[in-house]
Amino acid sequence: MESGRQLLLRSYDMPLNEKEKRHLQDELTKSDVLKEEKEKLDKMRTKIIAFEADFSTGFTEKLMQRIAGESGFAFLTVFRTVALSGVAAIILVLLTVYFVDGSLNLDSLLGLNGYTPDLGLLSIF
Amino acid sequence: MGKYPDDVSMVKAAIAGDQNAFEKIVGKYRTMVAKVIVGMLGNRADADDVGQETFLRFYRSMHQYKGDAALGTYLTRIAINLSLNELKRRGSHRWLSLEEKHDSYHADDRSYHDNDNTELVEKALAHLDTKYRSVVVMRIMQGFSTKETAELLNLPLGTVLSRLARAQEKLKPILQKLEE
Repeated sequence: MESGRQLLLRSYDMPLNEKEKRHLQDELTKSDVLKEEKEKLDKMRTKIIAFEADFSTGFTEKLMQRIAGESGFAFLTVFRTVALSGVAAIILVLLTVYFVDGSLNLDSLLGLNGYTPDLGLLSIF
Repeated sequence: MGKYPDDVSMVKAAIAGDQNAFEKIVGKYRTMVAKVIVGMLGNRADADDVGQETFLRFYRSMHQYKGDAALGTYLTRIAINLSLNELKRRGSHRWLSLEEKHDSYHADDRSYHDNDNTELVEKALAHLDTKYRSVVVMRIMQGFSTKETAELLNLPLGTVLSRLARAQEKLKPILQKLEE
């Protein structure tokens, strides 16, 4: 069986079985030294539990600003990706038109190369 | 019932972009996280930086939070890991200089220093090695069970118990002397 002191220390942080509880109670009854030890431990633990702390003034505001910045950054990153993809698609179309028609004039871009006004009129009929 | 009936719904709202919900999470757990960090690092400017980083890490990873652990425990895990990293970075197992805690950074934050007990405990904890301080902060200060403390610190249960016993033996005379 552990000493009264060891049992006392353990009793704060792990449950004791019935035999251990009785032994500790006996030891506390017999020993003023152990009783005094218990009082000191109780007092010490109470002080530690009563410890208070907080961050400095403005902590939450500063944090929320950083988060807003991160959210905005995330949005810009997505927007930039979409914008760049769009630009790449337009360049691809222009390159295709150029290689097929040999020019980038308005007729080429509108797909009207090779059309004559007569053919256009005939297409109505 | 309020807009966010529980922590899980607050987190879900925050994930969906509700910054008010995230601010409520910070408000609810700010002092708890502060106790862990200040308990480990002392009342220094670093504590604020580590506190900011704790909530930022949570913000970036909150989509992973499923509610299986209490939100307080989840945040504590981040806070204790970052605090231990900061102590490793400092290269010290004890706080560096107790005089620094009265530096101008905290000159206006008097409410914290006006608490004599807090100052006493802070001074006493400064004398403990990190391995003893961490179990005291988790088990005694924060009230986690011994089993939860072991899980949070990634230690065997027996190690937590022996460190708690040793930490209390060291703290008792220190606190007595500081109170004289």
